[in-house]
Amino acid sequence: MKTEQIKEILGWVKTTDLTSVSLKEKGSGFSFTTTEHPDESFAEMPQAHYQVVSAPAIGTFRWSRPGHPQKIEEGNSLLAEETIGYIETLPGKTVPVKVASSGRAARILVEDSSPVAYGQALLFIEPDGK
Amino acid sequence: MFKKILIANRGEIAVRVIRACREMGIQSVAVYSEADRESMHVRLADEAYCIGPAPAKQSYLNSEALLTAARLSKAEAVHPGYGFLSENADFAEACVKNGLVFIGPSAAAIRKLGYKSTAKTLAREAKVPVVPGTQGLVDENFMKEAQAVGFPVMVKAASGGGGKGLRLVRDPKDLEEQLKLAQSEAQAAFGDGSVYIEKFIERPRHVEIQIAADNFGNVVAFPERDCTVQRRHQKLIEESPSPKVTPEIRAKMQAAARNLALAAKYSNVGTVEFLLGPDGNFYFIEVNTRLQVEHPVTESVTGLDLVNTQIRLAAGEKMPFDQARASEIHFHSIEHRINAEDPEHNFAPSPGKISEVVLPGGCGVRLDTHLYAGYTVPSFYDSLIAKLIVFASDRGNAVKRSLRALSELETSGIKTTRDFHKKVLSHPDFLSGDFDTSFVEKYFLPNSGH
Repeated sequence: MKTEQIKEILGWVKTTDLTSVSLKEKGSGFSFTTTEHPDESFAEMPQAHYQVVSAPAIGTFRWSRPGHPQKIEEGNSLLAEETIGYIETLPGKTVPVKVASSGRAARILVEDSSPVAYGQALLFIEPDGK
Repeated sequence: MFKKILIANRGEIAVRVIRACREMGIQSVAVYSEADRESMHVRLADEAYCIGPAPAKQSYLNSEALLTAARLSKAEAVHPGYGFLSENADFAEACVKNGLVFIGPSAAAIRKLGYKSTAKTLAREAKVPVVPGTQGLVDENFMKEAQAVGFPVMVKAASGGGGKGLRLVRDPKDLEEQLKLAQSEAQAAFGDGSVYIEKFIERPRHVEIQIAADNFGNVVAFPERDCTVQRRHQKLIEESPSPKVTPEIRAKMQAAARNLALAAKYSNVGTVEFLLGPDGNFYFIEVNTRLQVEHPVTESVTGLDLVNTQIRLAAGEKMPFDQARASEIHFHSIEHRINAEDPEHNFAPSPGKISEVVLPGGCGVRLDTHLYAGYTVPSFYDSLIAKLIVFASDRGNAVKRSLRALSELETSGIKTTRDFHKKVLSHPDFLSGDFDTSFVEKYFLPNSGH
């Protein structure tokens, strides 16, 4: 594919809400993601292969249920679908925070009881096999 | 007065409310979806919280996320804007349960007036003229009831709005089929398939009365807004005063709107909508229990600030002005809803990045917008990107001012309805003031059967 063609596609992507585009044609192609609005917390991400666990809701983040010790520390192994904490939304309502795939807790980004917005990065994970 | 208000909305209306808050010395809290991270309301507010992903259901319609943002920000009140949860009685109630003031009427008043058939019952009791129709929801006797009303009839969704679940039936043999279509459309759009039938008023104008009420039984009614220029029941241009409303009709409409508000024990601002027939008779259609998109028209005509009034009334203050002041007409005003749509392709949405924008200004021009150069209009929400409001000494000068301001407005990167507005304002029927709600379909839409 010619550079001019890719430039044209890039120009189109900028007019949309798309954040990543991949195209494969006859064995060759390209893939790119927009970096126009990087989340500040992502800047701390040590390596591209780390995965981020982000807040699934706005609320107050808790590493554990009240009265229980924090279970997760940097270096801990985590299982896929494991609940690493909770987000309290309204009184008596919580949303669990789960890990998408198994790996090692690489860096913790929030303290217990912090207010968090939707999508805010909470934890970096180094996935298994990396 | 409140120290901090959360604005449970986006776009130009969030900007409008933030501006009112700032003038009143109130801190503003914006909420936004992931698609609105770069939106103007996020920039202008004192605080901002991301509440969810782009789809409105998970963000601006997510009551739990909105109330949580209010809790984290320690806001004392919630301004719902228009659309989204602004007319949702459950949300208004949830705000109160969570210790917040909902800037709008009580949940009980929303329930009474927000549901069209109960609103009509209340209107009849308050001696407000209503379009003849079925007393409640239709059942298996629909044909008999429709015959009693008299054809042509309209089938309407009970919890409807925005033209969904509406069917015009001229011939009795089509009634059953159209009724079923309206029911399934209403079920899909609102999760409620109930419908009612009313007489179809030929050649009507859409005229509405803005009201404001305090918690002490004081209700004022403002001069009318004429919203006859519509496309598929979506308002495009609003003006005040109406070219077809005489001082006598105005006084009767204002009295009717006030009576209805008193009967519903209404508080805060709202709008009572009427159909005005060519004979000068008018009929109640529905109440919008919130601030309207077109509220700046009334602000321009009267010189009063409706959002400021709304906030003061919600804080428990007495009505800051009387009926005589609310009725004053200082200017003629016209509002143009500029949408990110392509009028050449059946008004298809035209989201995308705005590379450059030139905003109109000058004497008698107001622009309510969240646009800026480099802003990307997301594809997830309403296509309204700006409201151009002009005001001048009379209708003729207001039209000239509109045309001047519209030609100053430039946006590159997306299609807008700007040129459509210029065409409408140059049309002889618009200039004469002699047109009805079919005006846009009749002259500006291809394949509309005219």
